[in-house]
Amino acid sequence: MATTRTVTVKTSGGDYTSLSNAEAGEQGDLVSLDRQLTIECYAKQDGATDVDGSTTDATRYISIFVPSTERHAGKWDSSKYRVIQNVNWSSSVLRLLDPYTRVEGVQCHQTGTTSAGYAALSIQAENCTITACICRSNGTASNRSAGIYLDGGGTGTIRNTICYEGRYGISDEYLDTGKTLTVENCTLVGSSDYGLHRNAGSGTLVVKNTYSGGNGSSDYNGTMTFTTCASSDATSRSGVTASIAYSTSTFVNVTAGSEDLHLVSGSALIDAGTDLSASFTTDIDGATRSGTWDIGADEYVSTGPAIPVFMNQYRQRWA
Amino acid sequence: MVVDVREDGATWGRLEVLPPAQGGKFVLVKIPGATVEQVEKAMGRLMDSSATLRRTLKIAVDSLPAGVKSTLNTTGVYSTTANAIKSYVQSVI
Repeated sequence: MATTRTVTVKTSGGDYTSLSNAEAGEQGDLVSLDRQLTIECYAKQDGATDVDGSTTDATRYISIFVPSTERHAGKWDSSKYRVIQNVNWSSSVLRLLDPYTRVEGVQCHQTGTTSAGYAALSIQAENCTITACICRSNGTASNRSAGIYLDGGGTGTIRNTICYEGRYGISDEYLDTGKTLTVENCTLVGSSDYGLHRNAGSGTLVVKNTYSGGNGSSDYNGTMTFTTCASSDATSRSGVTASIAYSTSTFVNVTAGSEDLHLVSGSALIDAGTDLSASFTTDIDGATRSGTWDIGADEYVSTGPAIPVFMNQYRQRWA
Repeated sequence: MVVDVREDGATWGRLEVLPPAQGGKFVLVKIPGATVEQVEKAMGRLMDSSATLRRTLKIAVDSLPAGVKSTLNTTGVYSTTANAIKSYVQSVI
């Protein structure tokens, strides 16, 4: 079993002061070292990073992990760990080029608006996993700006993740024959073109428990297979419930710039999904998914009524 | 290769200042008088043919004078001038 090495990224008092430096300082042949590397990122603003140059496999890989105390709570939080950069050089803020890389709990924002800028996060290696992230990319319908971009032989799984703004929420630019991208319990909203875009390639795009809504052209574009998904547009697709509004009847706040995509009581996405507990059991902010699963990144948890509790105690002589 | 450029007095992490002799991976080259903007511009970050963002410059450590190498190895820090370091800077792409 691989040994685990954990290093920290903190403003002060940590092993590194930026994710980029941690990646540069720790990259190597993790297979030969028999090492699984975890880079723990604490609340701060960070810049662009390429995860590249390491040799990895299924058990000896790089994990970029934000501990719960340092992480967003299901909506963008500028006091928690985040990577933000204008990447108008046609790149991504966080680019995954080493296979098996895992990213959990990161907020990514690509702030460039020129025709060249594209993604907050890009998957360009096989078997990468994105979990509980919030990805935003500025840009317009005239460029290829996306929250998450998959290209260059990338494959993997995106789950419990929110994408909004930009031209696409998730853009599967090219998926090689025989390869699979799985999108599970994601919320893809407010993009100027498509929420989930399939551009080219003969691979398989599998979409489960995902909501795409409020996007400019269409909520899903291209060939993909759906299991208990939903859209705000009225297009009929097998496995997709159409015409679920991107509005406050579904989410807490849909105002651009103030998005809070937690579900509200009565949302049509509640108890409309499929149990995927064989793969994972929580939602974007760590709530346990139970009962019939909800669609989207959030699992609705009722606060419930307050229950008064009365306690009495007494002592008596035993004899 | 050059991985980061910061102002004098910037805070660094534990493993960012560990000298090579103690297992560290980085050394700190100080260039008094040069601004962060000047060094960043010189450092550059360019796209290669596979559209990968690369750090573009490195200091040719093997070519440095023995005394400088020894100082960098044991302390991890060396102060110099832009002119003095210029001839040891190489492209990595």
